[in-house]
Amino acid sequence: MTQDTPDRHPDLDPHLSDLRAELSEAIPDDPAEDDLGVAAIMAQATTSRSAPERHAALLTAARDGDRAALDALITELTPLVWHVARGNGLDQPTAEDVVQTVWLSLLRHLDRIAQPRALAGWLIVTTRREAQRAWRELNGRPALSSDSAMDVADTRWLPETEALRDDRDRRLWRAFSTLPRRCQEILRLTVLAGRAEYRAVAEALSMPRGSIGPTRGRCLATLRTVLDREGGV
Amino acid sequence: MTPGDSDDHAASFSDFYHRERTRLFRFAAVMSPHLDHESAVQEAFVSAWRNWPAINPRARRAWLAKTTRNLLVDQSRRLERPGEVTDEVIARSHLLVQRHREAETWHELNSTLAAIARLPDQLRTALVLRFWDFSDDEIADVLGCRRDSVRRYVSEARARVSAEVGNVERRARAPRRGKGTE
Repeated sequence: MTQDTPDRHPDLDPHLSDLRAELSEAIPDDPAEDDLGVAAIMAQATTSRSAPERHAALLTAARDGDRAALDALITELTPLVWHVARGNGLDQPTAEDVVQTVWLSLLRHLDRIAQPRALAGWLIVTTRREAQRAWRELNGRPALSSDSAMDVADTRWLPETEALRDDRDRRLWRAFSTLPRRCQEILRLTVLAGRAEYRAVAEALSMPRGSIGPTRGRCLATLRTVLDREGGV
Repeated sequence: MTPGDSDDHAASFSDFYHRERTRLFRFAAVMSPHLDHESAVQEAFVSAWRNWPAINPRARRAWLAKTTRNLLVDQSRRLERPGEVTDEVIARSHLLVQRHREAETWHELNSTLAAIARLPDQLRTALVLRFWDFSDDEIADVLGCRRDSVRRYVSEARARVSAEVGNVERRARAPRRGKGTE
């Protein structure tokens, strides 16, 4: 603690410095400018409520039969569902099927989602399960999901070539494809689901929530290194 | 509810966010490791952006800390099963990752964190803000008290935490790392 604190409990200081060191590591300084973070805050400020609350309100309205609310929900959250499906190694047609299945499953369970505010998390978990089931059906064996598989680079999922308009995009995605699968998944999910959904992302990836931020930071650093090595973006 | 069109506001907000976000995330994490502290900070920033032109530039950090603290208090009131914040509850928050470290050290860290989390709001806020190097003026601003009272709060908070965790025999060793809060 700082020197001007009345020193009545000096025995506490070692505990506090250990704790400070530990937490500084758990929540590391990210010197990079987080423009995406700023953009997300500004976007959230222009809507009247935070995303989880808006999802909850839409879900409640949908339960009462409001078709427009359901459409709005599907429009807003389909990118998330789609990326989770593709991130689990499915090709485009299979991913499309999975997206359909997940939304149908939501319709079936509309009255049973216990925490409407946690809808994004529910979707991530359901989509992963559906995607893994679809992968098993296609390949006749379970998808590699062990920790070792999560650590190898994964080139199965990349955006369709026609979507990569310029060289900069191509280089970025090529670098992205050299990242371990766990990194790819963390980056995808945290960007799409937002910082407020770290809890859901942690659940979906079976990781401690406290390590999502640091791991994400390390993945971004690796991505930067790969890009630098290849001549930058 | 838009913060005006001025590019200056956007630039100063974005500057502030880049510079201060880590400290605020750390502040919230120590305040309430068992709650959704990241969402609270995120919400506080959203609210700060909505009110940006009205916030005194010198008091921005205190404003954010105050709002984050209030959101955490709201969160704890909404808990479905509010119970005592035990060491175990804190350990389950996974804020501290149990790695290849002696179990004893890990246990000590968790107990300290839990003892802080159990302090009454006012004492906890004072201690945690001091912990992350907020100035006495800022702490007074967040607590809505006089500057003189800040030291009393911090001192009282230290006494209470110390009573719970301070008297353990410790291996003599220097702090392993620097503060790293800048």
